[in-house]
Amino acid sequence: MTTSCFAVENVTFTYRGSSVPALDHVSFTIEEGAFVLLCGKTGSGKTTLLHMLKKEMTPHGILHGRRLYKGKEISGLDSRLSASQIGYIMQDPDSQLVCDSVSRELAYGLENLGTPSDRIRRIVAETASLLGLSEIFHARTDQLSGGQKQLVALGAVLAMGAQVLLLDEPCSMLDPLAAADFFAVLERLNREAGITVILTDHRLERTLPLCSQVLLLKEGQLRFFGPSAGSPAALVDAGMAAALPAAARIYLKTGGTGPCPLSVGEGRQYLSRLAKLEEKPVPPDPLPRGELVLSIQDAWFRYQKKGPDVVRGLNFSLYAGEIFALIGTNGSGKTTALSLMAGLLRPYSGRIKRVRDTAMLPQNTKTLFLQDTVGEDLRRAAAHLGRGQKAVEDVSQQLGISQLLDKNPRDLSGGQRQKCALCRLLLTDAPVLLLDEPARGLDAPARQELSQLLQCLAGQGKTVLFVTHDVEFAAQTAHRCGLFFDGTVLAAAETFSFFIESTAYTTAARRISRGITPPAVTVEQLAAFLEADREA
Amino acid sequence: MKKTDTCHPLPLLLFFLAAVLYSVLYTHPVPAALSLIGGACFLGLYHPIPLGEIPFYLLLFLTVCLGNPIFVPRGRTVLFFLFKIPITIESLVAGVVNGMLLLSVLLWCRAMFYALQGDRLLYLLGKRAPKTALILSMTLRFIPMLTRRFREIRSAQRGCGGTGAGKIRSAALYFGALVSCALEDSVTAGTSMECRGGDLPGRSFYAPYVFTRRDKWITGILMLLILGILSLTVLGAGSFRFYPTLSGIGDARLASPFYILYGFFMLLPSLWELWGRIVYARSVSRAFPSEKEVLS
Repeated sequence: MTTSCFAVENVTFTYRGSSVPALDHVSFTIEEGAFVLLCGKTGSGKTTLLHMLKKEMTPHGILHGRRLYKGKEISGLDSRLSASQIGYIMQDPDSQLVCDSVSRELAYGLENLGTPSDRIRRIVAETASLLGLSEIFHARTDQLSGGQKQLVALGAVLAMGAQVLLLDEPCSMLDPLAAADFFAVLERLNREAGITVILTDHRLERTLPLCSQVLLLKEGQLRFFGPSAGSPAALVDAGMAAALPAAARIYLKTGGTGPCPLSVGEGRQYLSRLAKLEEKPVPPDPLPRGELVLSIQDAWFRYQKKGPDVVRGLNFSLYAGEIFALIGTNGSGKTTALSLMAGLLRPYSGRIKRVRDTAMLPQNTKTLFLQDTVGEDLRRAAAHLGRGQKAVEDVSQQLGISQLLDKNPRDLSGGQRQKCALCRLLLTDAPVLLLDEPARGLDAPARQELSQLLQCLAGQGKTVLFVTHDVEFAAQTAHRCGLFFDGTVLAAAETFSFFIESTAYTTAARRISRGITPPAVTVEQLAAFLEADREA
Repeated sequence: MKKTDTCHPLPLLLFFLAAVLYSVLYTHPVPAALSLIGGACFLGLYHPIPLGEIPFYLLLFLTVCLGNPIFVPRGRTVLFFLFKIPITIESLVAGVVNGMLLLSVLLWCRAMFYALQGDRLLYLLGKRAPKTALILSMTLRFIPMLTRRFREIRSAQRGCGGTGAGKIRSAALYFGALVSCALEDSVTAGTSMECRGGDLPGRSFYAPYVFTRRDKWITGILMLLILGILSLTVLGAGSFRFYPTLSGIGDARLASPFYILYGFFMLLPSLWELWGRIVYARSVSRAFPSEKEVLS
């Protein structure tokens, strides 16, 4: 029998100054070597629960019940043991790193433990080779990509001898490729080194197939704790159906029986058992085009005189009333292209014609707010943009953020802040909105809401162009999509044909149904086909 | 990798401190010229300064060269009168020597900055003051992060109609936002440090450098040179009189070994760097013969 790693017995926790408990009579036991996905909606208490498992992170408040780590009460753990054995990794890749170079960062925890220099050398070397950090070993931490930063943060706790990893949405700021790499490393550590992993993530489609157990919280109460294959029904009950992997959503929509498929491969097996439809090409309806609002002809741009070209011969046109999604990996120059369109940067060659005014939403929306409250910021912006206070009321009502105006922009959740930022953008009254990664870090309901909001804005005559690496969000929202690669836009096409033609950059529903059913890009389309098939 | 970078930080520090101190110590045309040549050669080989900065150094040099005879009307041998100010040869030579001194100190300091930055600087501090080293490391990380944040905030505002305030007022607003960003970041960083045992007593220091036999040799040679130069100075070499008339270059028996030692000392890092390059080029050409050699 394996020993228990964490035993939580009847824990109830109430934050200071709050009357509602954040955790309500939660009990569970996590065995050593488990890979646990902790899920729940925003505000369900999952981060609080994760903090409960680490002595140093335990928040202030009233706590009842017992929390045991290997049979010892967590609050009474030796500081050295707690710091070294229980590793905690946060969401923000930027601010959790402490030192200037990768090697120093890896050594930091060991220095705190008082490890002699010779031993640090060896442990740091082993950790770097284990995680593939040798190439960037001497690099400065501020020059790393987000994915590399998270790997360094992981290495820093592993070097200290972590036996348990607690991760709070470690990949919500990363692009899908970097996230996949990070999760692959986690899986390997779990499988090969027997390290216990407990993580929260709002993108269940990538983590659910990976983990061995799911722990589901709703309003502070434990709703489900068991193997991941049995979790979909409980997740639907907790109102998280939209966050489920495409395979599981198809399974649930078709009222499937047997084990629920979670990964794309399992989904394909399930679908081929279910349906014997022919793949017939369906010609898409060409969309009506509005007037040209923005055009770029052969634009070239570089940041430094002798640096590489980031935008290389970009040709692009945007038409009134459409939603365009620019898809590509991080570091491909999408943000630079967007800044060129917004007029924040100027190309050294080529022409950019901005027929209509543009407004741009930055990737980090925190940078948009300069005042202490959202309302103050919006009112000031409205004043200098020559719009009355009425405009602030109207726009905030339209976006449903009237109750947030008195809050500090830093206290908002990701989804709320995104809406407030959009409100700030709409105050400019610019007909063209350029959005940089608007769906980054949002959970499923917030993404859904944002998608509807953008469609609504397009319906009112706004033109929206957004940059994303989230294909599902693009498929759900955009009219047209284009692939940004090597400094230029390739294959701009109607969303449906774009995803049908794509081999790698396509949605999970398409990957599951390719060759099995008529072309379908979203789960809803696929479900409609299956429904029609069953009726026929 | 540069040969200098393979050296242990301690002998590097020893050399650069001695080079800067000696450059200031000898107001003498020959050592000043040797120090300037040494500094310029080393910087050229190790970390060339951008071409655009060379006029600045030349201007500085010329200012000191010409400023001295204009403002210090001492010396006996008058060359000519400039607006009734006697320009003397002694004063002109003193100006040139001072200019060379200033320039050589600047070049050596710059070389020291390049050679002892980042990890090496931390190492030198870390042994004595691990906490200071940690703070320095954190600061080195913070500065580029804040610069980037500031740019982000500025372009975010410009992207949606600006702040409506003037340049200075806008900058103040950006700065305010930057401070709150920084505070937020430091709270996260603080938590991350606490999670990794940042407040445990008995902190050690990770020193990624090993003091090898070669480093011992280098330190030994440096010490010998430094002491040799010092003892010759005590015996009377290395002094020079500008006013009222220029003294000679010095007693040949004492001066020649002094110049040789001093020149060798100042050119040592350049010679070492050059030697490293030659060794590297030869070993590479042997290990990876060019296409032409293989074909013939």
